[in-house]
Amino acid sequence: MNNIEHYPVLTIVVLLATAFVVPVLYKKQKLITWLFLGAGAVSFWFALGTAARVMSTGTFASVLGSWPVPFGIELQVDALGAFTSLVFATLALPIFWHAAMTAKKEVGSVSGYFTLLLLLTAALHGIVLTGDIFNMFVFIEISSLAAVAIIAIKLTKESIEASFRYLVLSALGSGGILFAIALIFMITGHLNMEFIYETLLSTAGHYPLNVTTAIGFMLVGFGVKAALFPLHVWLPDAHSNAPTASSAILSGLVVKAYIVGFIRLVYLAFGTEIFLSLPLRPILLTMATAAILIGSLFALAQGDLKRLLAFSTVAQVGYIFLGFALFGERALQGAFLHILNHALMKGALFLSAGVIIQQTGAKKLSQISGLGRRLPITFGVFTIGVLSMIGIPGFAGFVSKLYLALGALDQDLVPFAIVILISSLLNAVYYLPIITNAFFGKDTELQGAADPPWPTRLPMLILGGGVVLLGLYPALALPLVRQAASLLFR
Amino acid sequence: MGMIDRLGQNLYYLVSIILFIIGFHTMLTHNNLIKKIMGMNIMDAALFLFFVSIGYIQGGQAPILTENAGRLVNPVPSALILTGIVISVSFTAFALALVVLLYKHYGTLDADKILALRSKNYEQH
Amino acid sequence: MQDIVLELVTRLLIPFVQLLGAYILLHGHLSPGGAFSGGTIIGTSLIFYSMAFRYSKRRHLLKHDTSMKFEAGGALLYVVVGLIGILFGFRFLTNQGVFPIGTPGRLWSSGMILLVTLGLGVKVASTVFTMFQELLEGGTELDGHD
Repeated sequence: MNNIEHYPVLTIVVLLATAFVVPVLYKKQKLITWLFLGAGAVSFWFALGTAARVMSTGTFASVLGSWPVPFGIELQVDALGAFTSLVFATLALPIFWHAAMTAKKEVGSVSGYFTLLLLLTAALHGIVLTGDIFNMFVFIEISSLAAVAIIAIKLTKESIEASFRYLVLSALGSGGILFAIALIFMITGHLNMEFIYETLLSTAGHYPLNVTTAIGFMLVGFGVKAALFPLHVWLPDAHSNAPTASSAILSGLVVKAYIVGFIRLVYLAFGTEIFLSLPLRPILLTMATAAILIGSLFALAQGDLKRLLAFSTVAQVGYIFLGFALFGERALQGAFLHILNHALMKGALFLSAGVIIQQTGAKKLSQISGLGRRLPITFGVFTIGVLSMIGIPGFAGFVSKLYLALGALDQDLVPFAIVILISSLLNAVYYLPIITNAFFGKDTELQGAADPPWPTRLPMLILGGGVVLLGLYPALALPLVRQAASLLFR
Repeated sequence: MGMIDRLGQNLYYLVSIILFIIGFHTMLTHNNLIKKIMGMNIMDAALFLFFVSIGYIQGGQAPILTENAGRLVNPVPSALILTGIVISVSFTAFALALVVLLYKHYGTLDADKILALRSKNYEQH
Repeated sequence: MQDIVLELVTRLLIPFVQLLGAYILLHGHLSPGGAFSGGTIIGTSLIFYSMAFRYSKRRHLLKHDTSMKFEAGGALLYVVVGLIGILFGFRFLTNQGVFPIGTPGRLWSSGMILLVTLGLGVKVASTVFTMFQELLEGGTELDGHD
C-alpha cells in the first residue's frame, strides 16, 4: 500500500498533536487519560506498519513537504530506525498505562505529565527516524527538555536538584552536538545525511581535522546524553529520583535513542569507513568496558533500590556501546537486541520497584526483607527482570548477552567475552540477595502490604511476560535486528 | 599569508571559540546557579556565532529576490540558528524555573551549599 | 506605587511594538523574520503591559487558561495544515497542489506558509507570556500564600 510512506511521519505527529491537546483539557481527567493512552496505541499501530514495510521492502524515505532533498527534510526509515521506533512504541504502551494509573499520587500536574511523556516519545521516534542531522538535533533537544521535565515534575527537593544537574550537563552535550553539526555543515554544505555521506567521500580527505573534531564532539555530546561511562554522573540521581513511569522510560528508552542516534550518524552521515579509520573503536571499547565493570561495582555498593537499578543502567549502556564498538555482525545484532531486551527488563524492574515503594514505602534494600511473601506478583515480575539481567537461559537478557559474547569471540577479542561473564557474575552478586531476602528473609513491621489492584499489576506483568517471551522465542525480533545489523556493512 | 591576515579572515571563528571557552568555564566552575545558566547562554551564543559565520560573506545581502541581487549570504545557517535560539530560550526558561524551585526548597543559590544540605538530608533518613 | 511616567510610556509604546510584531509575523515568508521573531515581539508587549501595571492573578491581560488555549490552538493549526497535505494524497506539510501559491512578493503568496506562520506566531506569543505567568505564579503557589 502506498499510504505506508506516511506512517513514520504519522507515528510522530499523532503523539505531538495529542501533546498539544492534553494541557487544554486538564480539567477532564478521564478524557485526557484516554487520549493519552489512545495516542500511544495509534502510534504503536503506525510504528508496526513502518516496521512491516521495512521488513518487506527495505529502507525507504519519507519526504516532508513538497521540497525535494537536499532542500527539504526527509525521514530516512531503515531497519535500525524502524526497529527502535517499534521498540519505543511497544514499550511506551505499558509505561503510559502505569503512568496513567499512578500519576495522581506521584506528580504535581497530571495533564502536564501526560504532555511531557507524549512530547518525549514523539521526539524519541524522531531521533531514530529522521534523515536530516539538524532535524535530529531539534528532536534531541525536545527529548532532553522533556526528559528533564519528567524528573522535575515530581517536585521533591531531590528530584529538582537532580534534574537541574541533568539539565546543565544535557545542555553541554547539546552544545557539543551542535558544534559537530556546524563543523560538518562547514565542509559539506549539506544537512541531509545521505548527501553528507556522499560529499564526505570526496572532501573528508581534505579536511581531516574537521571530521575528527566533529566526530569527537559528537561522541562527547551523545556520550553525555546516553550516560556513557565517565560522562554518566548525572544518571543515578536523575533516574532514581524520578517518578516511577519516568524512571522506566528514561532508563529503558531515552538513553537508547541517543545511542541509536549516534550509530545512525556514524553509518548514515560519516560512513563506516571514516569511523573505522579513526581510533574510535579502542576508545569506545575502553569506555564501554569501564562502564560495564564500574557501573556494576557501583551498583554493588548501593543501599537504595532505585539507585541500584540506575547504576545497573550505566552498565547496560556499556553493553550496547560494547556491541557497537566490536563492530562485527553478531556483536551488532547483540547490541541492537539488547536495546529491546534491556528496555523490557529495566522497564519491568523499575515498574515493579515503583509498585513496591508505593505499596510498602520500602525504598532501602534493608526494608525489603520478607516482602516477597506479601507481594508475590510484584516480586515475581522483579525476579523475572533480575534473572534476565543476570543472563539466565530462557530469559531475554541471555540471548543478547550470548550474541555479544559470540561477537567478541568472532573478532578474537576474548577479554571482552570475559568482561561480559564477569559482569553477569557481578549482576548476580547484587541482584540475587534482593530476591532471596524478599522471599526468605524475616518479616518486618510493614504489615498489611499487598499486591496492587489488577489495573496497576497489568503493565508490569506485560513487560515481565515480554522478557520471558523473547527469552524463549528470540526469533520474534531477530529478522529486523539482522537487517539492522547488515546496514552497517553496506 | 601572514598570521594577522589569517586571524582577520577567521575572526568570527576565533571570537566564537573564545566565547565558548568563557561560557564553558563559567558553567562548570561557578557555584552560583544563575551564573551557571549565564554560562550556558554564553556557550550557546558562541555556537550560534560560529554557525552563522559559516554562511556569512563580508558585504553580502539577505537572499531576497530583487532585481539587483549581488553577493548573497547563505540563509541556511541563519535559519537553523533561529531554531537554535528558540531551543536555547526554552532551556533557559526551564532552567530558571528550576532555580526558582530550588531556591524555595533550599534557600540558597549556591550549588555547593545545596549539595551539602542534600547529603545532610540523606544521612537523616 | 503607581508610576505615571512608566505607565504612560508603556501605553504609548505598546501599540507600536505590537504593530512591529504583526508586521514581522505577517511578512515572514517575504523578508527576514517570521513566527518566532514576530511572536516574541508580541509576547514581549504583553509582558511589558503586565510589568508596568503590576501583574497579579486578579489583574491580568490574558487569563492563564486562555493563553494556554492559544498555545495549543497555534500548534494544532500547524499540525492540521500539515495533515491536509496527506489528506489530499500528497505528503505531510505539502504546499504544492493543495494551497494557492499566489504571486511571489505579495502578502498573499506562498500558500500555507503564511497560515503556518500565523499559527506558530500565536503559539510563540502566548508561550512567551505563559512562561512569564508561570514564573510569577509558580513561585507564589509554593509559598502557600498569595
